[in-house]
Amino acid sequence: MKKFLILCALGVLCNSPAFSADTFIMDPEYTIPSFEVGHLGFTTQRGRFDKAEGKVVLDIPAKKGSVEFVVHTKSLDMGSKAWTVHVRSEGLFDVEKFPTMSFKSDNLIFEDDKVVAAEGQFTLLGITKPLKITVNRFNCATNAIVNKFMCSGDITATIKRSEYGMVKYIPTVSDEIQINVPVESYRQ
Amino acid sequence: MKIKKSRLNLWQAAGKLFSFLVAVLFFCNPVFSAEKFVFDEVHSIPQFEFSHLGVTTQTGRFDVAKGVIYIDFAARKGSVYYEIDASSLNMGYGTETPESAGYRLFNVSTFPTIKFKSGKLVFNSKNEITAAVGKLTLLGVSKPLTVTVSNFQCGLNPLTKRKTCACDVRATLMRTDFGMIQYIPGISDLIIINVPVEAYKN
Repeated sequence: MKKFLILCALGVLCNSPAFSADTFIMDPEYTIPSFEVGHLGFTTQRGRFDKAEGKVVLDIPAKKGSVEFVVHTKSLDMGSKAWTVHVRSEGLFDVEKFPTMSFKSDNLIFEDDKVVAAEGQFTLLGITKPLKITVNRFNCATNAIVNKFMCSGDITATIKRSEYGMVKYIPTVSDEIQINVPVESYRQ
Repeated sequence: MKIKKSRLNLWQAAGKLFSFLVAVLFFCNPVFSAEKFVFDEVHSIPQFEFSHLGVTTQTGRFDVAKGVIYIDFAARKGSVYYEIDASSLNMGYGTETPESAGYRLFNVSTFPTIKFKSGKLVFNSKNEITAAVGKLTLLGVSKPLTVTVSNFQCGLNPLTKRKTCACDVRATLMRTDFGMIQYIPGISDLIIINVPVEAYKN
């Protein structure tokens, strides 16, 4: 105990998240981000990024944690090839110039032992802005199929793309974008 | 006389047949009174949602689908035909193969198309379509399905300047009703379908 207190005083044990927190790596097959955009005032169109990766550090007793999420923009798939090429191009996601977009947060918001939101920084087209995301259906349990401990949830967020300099076709294609990311992450 | 009589009967029969055909065309064929709209395949891509392991909401998509809708606004009637190419399934994790779970679930080799047909469109007081009562055919099984239609509107497409009718279509179904029973409960029985529709006047 004495030893622990000394280490604690040195800031090595008691406050270091590396000691008390668990690290979870997102399963890329079940963590595929998609987005919804209003098209011509007519319909809700959807796009998807097939390649993304992320890590969550969770200390549930301390109600603390962090998240890092990177989306590879070249993996954009709109369903139609011609449309995919168009949305990847300059003026929209400009994937050659900006191959990634990301979300980082070290401020997870808890209600009891569940993560319900995260305040962080979203980077799109090289521009970083504060973004609060909502976490729905947060849950931690052992996935019996693979016998691994998993934390999961459905993430939603809304952005205005013009704030990141993506102004092309507004308002024909809506400024407001709804983001949906299911997250299934396994403890390391 | 006998010959004349039979000729008369023949003419009478032909006349009856003709008026019957006219009646059929007049009352039943939507082409005569309805406007035809053909789905823009780039912007009418069907997506579905399911719960995975009871914990997350996952989505899948079919990249190839075609459809046509007949609307008679004056009579407040219409019909819709929609066909999905099951082999265009795209879950986001690479090319589907005959061995992959998705292709096996949809039994793509045996049932290459998923169809929705409706001869009963529901109109509200503003003459907007709010629902379609029809039948979905999945895995060769046809069952009644009512889809809800939101944001229905017709107007000029601002980009192509063509007359367009558009809406967002949503439906829910239990996949076991169609005999799709594999992977329950890991992949939920309840499926939500979302289809944006942008259809050009033919």
